[in-house]
Amino acid sequence: MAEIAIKAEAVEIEAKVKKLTLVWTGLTFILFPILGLLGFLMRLVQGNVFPMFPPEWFYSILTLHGVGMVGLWFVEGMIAVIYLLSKYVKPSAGVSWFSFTFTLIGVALIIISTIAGKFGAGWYFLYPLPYKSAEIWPNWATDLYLIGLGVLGIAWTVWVIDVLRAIAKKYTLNQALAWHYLAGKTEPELPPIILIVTVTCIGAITGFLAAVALLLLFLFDRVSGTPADPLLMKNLVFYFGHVLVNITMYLGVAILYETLPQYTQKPWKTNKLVAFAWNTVLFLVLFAYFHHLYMDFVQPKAFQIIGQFASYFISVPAAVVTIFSALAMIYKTKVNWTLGSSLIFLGTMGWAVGGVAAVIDSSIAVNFRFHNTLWVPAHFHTYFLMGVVLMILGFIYHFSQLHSNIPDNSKLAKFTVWLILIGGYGFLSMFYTGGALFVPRRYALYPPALSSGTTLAQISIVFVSILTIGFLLYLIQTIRRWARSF
Amino acid sequence: MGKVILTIIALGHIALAQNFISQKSDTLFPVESKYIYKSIDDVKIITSDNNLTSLSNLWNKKPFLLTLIFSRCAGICSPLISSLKFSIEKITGNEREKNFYIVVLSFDTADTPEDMDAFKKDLNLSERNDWIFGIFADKEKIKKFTDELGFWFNWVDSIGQYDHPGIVVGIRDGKIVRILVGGEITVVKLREVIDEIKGNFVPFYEIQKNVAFRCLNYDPETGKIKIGIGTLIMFIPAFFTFFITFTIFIFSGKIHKQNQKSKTKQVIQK
Ligand code: HEM
Ligand SMILES: [Cu+2]
Repeated sequence: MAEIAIKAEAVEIEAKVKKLTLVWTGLTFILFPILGLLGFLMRLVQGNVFPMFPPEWFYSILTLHGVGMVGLWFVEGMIAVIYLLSKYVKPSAGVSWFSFTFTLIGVALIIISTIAGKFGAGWYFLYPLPYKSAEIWPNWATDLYLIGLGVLGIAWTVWVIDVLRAIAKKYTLNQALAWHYLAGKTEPELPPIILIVTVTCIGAITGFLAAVALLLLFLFDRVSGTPADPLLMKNLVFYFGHVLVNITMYLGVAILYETLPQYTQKPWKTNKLVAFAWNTVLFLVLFAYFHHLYMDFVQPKAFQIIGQFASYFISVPAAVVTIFSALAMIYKTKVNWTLGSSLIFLGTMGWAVGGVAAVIDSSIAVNFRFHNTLWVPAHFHTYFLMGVVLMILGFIYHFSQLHSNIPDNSKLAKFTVWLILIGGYGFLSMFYTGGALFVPRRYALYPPALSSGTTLAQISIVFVSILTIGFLLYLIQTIRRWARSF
Repeated sequence: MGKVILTIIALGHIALAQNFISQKSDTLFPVESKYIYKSIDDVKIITSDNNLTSLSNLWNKKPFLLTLIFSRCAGICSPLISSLKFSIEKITGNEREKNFYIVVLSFDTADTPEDMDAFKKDLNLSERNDWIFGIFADKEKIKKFTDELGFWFNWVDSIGQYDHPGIVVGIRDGKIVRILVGGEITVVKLREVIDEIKGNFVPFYEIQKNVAFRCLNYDPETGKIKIGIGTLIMFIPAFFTFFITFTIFIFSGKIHKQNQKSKTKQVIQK
């Protein structure tokens, strides 16, 4: 009797979670093309295709594209993980809906701020620029942007706390962090996704709290007129920004651990090494962000050194363990390569490539040369666009295919993947070359002295076009299955 | 677009205007930015103990602070040297052997090494080897040398004195690193100059503005840095995260156990 009741509950949860996932992932089909095309537009402007393009528009587009992409992939990562987690624990559907509503409000405010208000301080709105716009954008645009972020911050904090709550209902903290594995035990068994998501949510909370502190300081400045300490503001904004970007990648990795085994028919279990790697991440997640402040010579020297070593140690264990395990999963195995599993796997490899580029730039000696050159967008577009975005897109396809029962068109899938790979890595290699030539980032039009930037942007246009076709094909195949899943 | 250009033009105007003002005031005090990193002439000097040497001989050993005076001066010279001495002692403490020199040269052709020796004694500096008082060995070179520092002097018959500004120039490897002007040398400014002639990077400087929640408090008098409240703020998120995480796990865990108990009870009852 009790068993039947439990089963009925499980079915009900599945329906609820499925609906939630469908609606949330639907957002991707709208926002990703828009934000991606804004990226395309920026490359066109940088390639001097529209010489009369107003630079202040470039900057508001840059800001919207940046913050939009960072936010979009965080929420999509969250919903993917919530869907996958619901096999083990029960995050509240109500909280996800609450978060959905507030996310829409926050996004609307940010769109108004950047498009109508021309807010263009860049996605991480480095203090004191937001309120010192030289009248390019009005102060209300900054107000809206910060309020928008505040709304998102509240929605997402509640969201991650709820996921932690769901985990805490079944596991104690040391079980969820796999400390018993570190002590040599394997009971109770902990699915790796629980470990990774626990680490991610704890990291997320610190990051969001840093954002709260930052927004309060902005408010204090705005109301009292007493300027804040730019050093403190920069520390806080990168604390938040770095953590947000990194936890999004961890969400992608959580997807990998949970989905890839379904295509290889091999289990992927937590072990001592996995436990060690993710606990290292948890321990170091607060310290790596110091690598964003290498140029700030007033920052205490100890922080700079900690930043460099934390950057190495946070990325290496997690990435190495994950990548080798993923390779071991597919080695000498008959993998069911669909559009979904291919993208998830290739996303993992992109994460690795981007990670290497990031570690290079987080070495102080290198950062002296590469700071704020195109190397920066090069590496983060690698682990985002060719990394976590592919993982999440792979998940959305995986999910839609599962629920629609439309079989995979493997030829079309292969073609799509090749277009995305060629277009994506071509696009990235232009950024990397720009970085190696010390072309600075965030230029709307490159001045004559940086004409190589213009040329690279022009070549880039070819690749972005290929990429766009690739994503278009992806969308066609996925939306068809997604629509059938309702 | 128009706005951007206007802003740039406006900024340009301000910059130009400032340049204009500074060029005018250069007639009174040298403007540091015009002379910085220029080489000075390697002139021969005769020190107060009658040694012939050259400035390059000095800068090859240690960096130095250079100041120009004349011994009969009834105006700025003595107070300038006194305040320099006071500030240096404040900065370097009781250090006998400093890692820089202080070179005091007379631009007055009438001054002799003996005059400079007397001047040095008057200031209670005769025991100090790092203070080098002297005159130009070649009187012809004085004008060119001082011109290249932006320093000037005029004989005023009515008072029987030279009119001249007070300057202290920081020299490293024969190049001008900083120029301080005026009769009073403050500890705060001099500390920066001394750091710079030694080749140290000066990351901090005094700001008058009131800034909320500073990460670091810099005391320009002592050059010391103290951790401020801003640094503590950076740790607050981590602290609260611990708190929240533990709370979640402790509370959910408890509720979970209670639920389990009541469920087993129900099952037993059934
Ligand atoms: C769809 C293909 C994409 C294209 C064509 C594209 C293009 C661009 C371009 C041209 C820039 C400006 C680079 C510069 O500083 O000169 C940029 C910046 C940026 N992009 Fe993308 N991008 C794409 C996807 C993504 C994705 C998936 C993310 C995910 C987070 C992302 C996040 C960012 C961020 C954070 C910035 C920096 C914004 C800032 O400087 O404030 N982009 N992108
Ligand atoms: Cu970072």
